[in-house]
Amino acid sequence: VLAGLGLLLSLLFPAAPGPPRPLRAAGPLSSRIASYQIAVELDPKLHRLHGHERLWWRNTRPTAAATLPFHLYLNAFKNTSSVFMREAARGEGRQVFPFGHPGWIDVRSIRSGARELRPAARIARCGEDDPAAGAANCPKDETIMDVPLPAPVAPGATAVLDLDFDAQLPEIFERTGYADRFHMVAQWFPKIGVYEGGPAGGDRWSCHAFHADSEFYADFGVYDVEITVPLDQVIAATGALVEARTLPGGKRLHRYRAEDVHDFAFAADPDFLVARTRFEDVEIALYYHAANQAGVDRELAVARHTLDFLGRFAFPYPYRALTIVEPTLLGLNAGGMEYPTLVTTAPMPPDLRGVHFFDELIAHEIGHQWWYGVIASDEFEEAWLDEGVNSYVTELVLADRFGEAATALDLGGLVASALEHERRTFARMPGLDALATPSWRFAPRHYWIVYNKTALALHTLEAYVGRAELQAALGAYARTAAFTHPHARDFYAAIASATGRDLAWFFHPVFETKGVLDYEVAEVRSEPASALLRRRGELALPIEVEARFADGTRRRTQWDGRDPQRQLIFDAQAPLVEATIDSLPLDIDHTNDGRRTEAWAGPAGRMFAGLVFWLQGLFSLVGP
Amino acid sequence: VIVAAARAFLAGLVRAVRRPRLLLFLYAVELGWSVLASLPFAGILLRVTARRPFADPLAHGLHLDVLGELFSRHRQLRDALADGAILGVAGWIVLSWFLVAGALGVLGDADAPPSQLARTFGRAAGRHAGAMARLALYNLLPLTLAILLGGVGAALGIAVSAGAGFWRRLCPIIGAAPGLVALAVAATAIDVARAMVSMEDAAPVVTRRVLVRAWKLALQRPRLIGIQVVGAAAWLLPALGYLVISWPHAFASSAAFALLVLLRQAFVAARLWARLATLDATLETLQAVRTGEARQLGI
Repeated sequence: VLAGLGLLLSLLFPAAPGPPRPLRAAGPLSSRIASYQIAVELDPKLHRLHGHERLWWRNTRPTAAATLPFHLYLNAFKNTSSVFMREAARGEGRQVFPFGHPGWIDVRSIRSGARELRPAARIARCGEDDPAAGAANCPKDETIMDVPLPAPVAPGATAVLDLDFDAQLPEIFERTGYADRFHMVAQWFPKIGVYEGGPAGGDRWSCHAFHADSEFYADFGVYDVEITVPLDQVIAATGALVEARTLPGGKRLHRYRAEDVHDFAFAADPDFLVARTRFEDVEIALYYHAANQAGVDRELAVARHTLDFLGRFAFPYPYRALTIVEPTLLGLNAGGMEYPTLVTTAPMPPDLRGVHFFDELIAHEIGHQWWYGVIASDEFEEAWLDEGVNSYVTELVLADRFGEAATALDLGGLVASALEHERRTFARMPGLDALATPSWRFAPRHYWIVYNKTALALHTLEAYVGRAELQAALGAYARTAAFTHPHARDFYAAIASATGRDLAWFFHPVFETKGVLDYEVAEVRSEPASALLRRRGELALPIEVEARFADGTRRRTQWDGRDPQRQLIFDAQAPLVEATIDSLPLDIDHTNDGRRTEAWAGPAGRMFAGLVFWLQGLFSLVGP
Repeated sequence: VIVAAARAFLAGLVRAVRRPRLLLFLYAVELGWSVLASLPFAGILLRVTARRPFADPLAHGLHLDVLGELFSRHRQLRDALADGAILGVAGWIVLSWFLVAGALGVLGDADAPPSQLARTFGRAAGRHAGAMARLALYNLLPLTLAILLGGVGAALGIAVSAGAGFWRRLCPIIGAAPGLVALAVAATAIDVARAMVSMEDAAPVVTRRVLVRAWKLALQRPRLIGIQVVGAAAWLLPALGYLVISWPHAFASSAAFALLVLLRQAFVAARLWARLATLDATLETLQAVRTGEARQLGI
């Protein structure tokens, strides 16, 4: 009766449509430890922000917290003393353009109730792992602010702080800042670190300096953000737009709400055009510039495909909005980045059909919504858990769309695979660091192995557990780890559990050591039929070898690879023609994975004839 | 102008085909030089792939991932390819000074019996190669400026055509048009200068003065530019035909690949034929100018 009455009342007095809900399912989906209410005004002429932030931080650990550390990321661009700029000077990071106008953040006030905490806050400190650390005159980094509290936050208690800040955006150097009229406002507000159980037991704050080769880590919460900008600005932001109203003085207020996310970013540009599409009940909005109109349909199609693929592979995208920001060419350094429910790409040349680099970029950034956004592992300390797993899955998305051999290129019969490209990139300097290295400790320009080596390692694991089984295990891991900040040990355990195998023999050497994998068929003899296998790298993974004989028969055998080399002697009726190792993706040299007894000039002959022809063409351009 | 130029070019084609030995000789030299420049690369490739099954897909077509792996593991392959291309082109530029001088000598001596062709070619090549080199050097600046003009124009065309579908394709072409016109004039001028040098059988030629005269002639007589344009079109036509026939197909089997090689060499020969016809038509037009037939011919 009550239900019927309720239905009648709802029909008679329908509720007014409320603001768009940011989640597709009922929340909360996470523990919502750090929530923010922020009011910020962007002055696009001075590229400056004036903001007020209220933070609710809940202590979910068993020990009290006496000090709250905050990231002040924009201070990375304040001067050349910052850890970030010193690392960038060594070639770390991904910047393309030289450093231009600096950026900074100044926290004017921190209040707990009526009590002002700003005077007691400590900002400048020596860099992490800095050889000069401890010296009084070490170069000072200002990307972390420690705020001692009047009273520790007890387990289960919530601290509420009010912060006033001003921030200057840098000319885009890496990820954030302005380029002409385009503003990418990311890592822009004082953001609390993560209080968690440490690897050696006890609780600790994970709040690292902003490193050139690192991305981010933060707790989930609710973000309610009011952005005030001049009327001409078009805004793209994390979360769902819940309110927009015009203010006196030619300004407009945009209020966004995002739930169960761990960061908030927005872009502003008066020249933005917007294209929208839907995938199920997710609204996809692409913010682009007129010059790139021709690429819009392709970008949106890749976005829908990625949401569909990852929804089936792992779990459905949990948010109602997905925003794609395409920066201008001058703002390119803000491209190729992920924030909760918002990704940045790059201006897409529309006529490069068959060249899949841009499709890969879009799929990769959207893929981050799962590994960085929802699963949210620590990108400072275990970057491969996001970047690497996402690289592996990006290749699956591309293979699903273009076919496995053509994930990088499919142009007039010429195909190339993104995985093979990753392998060649990795093979250039494969053994400098282990994957399980904190981001800032990688050798310069070696951080990129978190992308390619992880993807190659997971493709290699397919050879042992089966492709479908591994993908199912990764999906199971994703579902279990959603909103939990898993660590490497959780990943290993989840994959082992889902596949029902003890995989420590694989995970430890491949992920935790610098070992290189390289097998070679060093010698073959037709009679007596034999093959000499050699392990040239430190990694010893089991391999399979196939021998082919003159009478057409084939024989397969296994080698555990533990010894440096092994002689295979075949009891065969016919002479041996060739022996070939099943190439593993992680093997840095595939050219030596097989050997035949007789030389064959077929490949060289054909390439020779091709080169002669292309040189004839080149010559015809210069004479006679 | 274009019709008249096309007629002159067709006549050049006919005359060039009457000099099969010249065409064959130029083709053989180009082929031989390309083979020489490719040999170091091919030798190293043979050494690193002969016993490695990994490279076998290359016997059936261009396999980018296999090639990429070979290049990344064997640096000497990259070096041999780059060295072959750079030294090959540099050597070919020098050779072409002799070849164009010799070819113009043969084309200009219509009465020479076939048995005397080698001597005519050798004498003209020896006599005029230096002048051809100087001409190429002097004309480098206008050629470079024309290419830059075309490039900048195309870039501006791309910049101003933002967003619009039809204009997006047309604007870069419109932007590049002044550069293309300048390129046609510069290419005509050097061919005219080459022909003038070859016609001067007297004492050493002052090449700079010849080039200035050639530029004036090129600008005054549109038929000369027309011949160059028709020649370029005839040069491009077999290229397009080759692409249409070959591009989507793998030519994977040995028989198919043999067919592809024949097709490619036929295309190379057709390209050379078109080039000879352009030179011949330019030479004929200049001879007409010199003998006072220009007024009658309306050029």
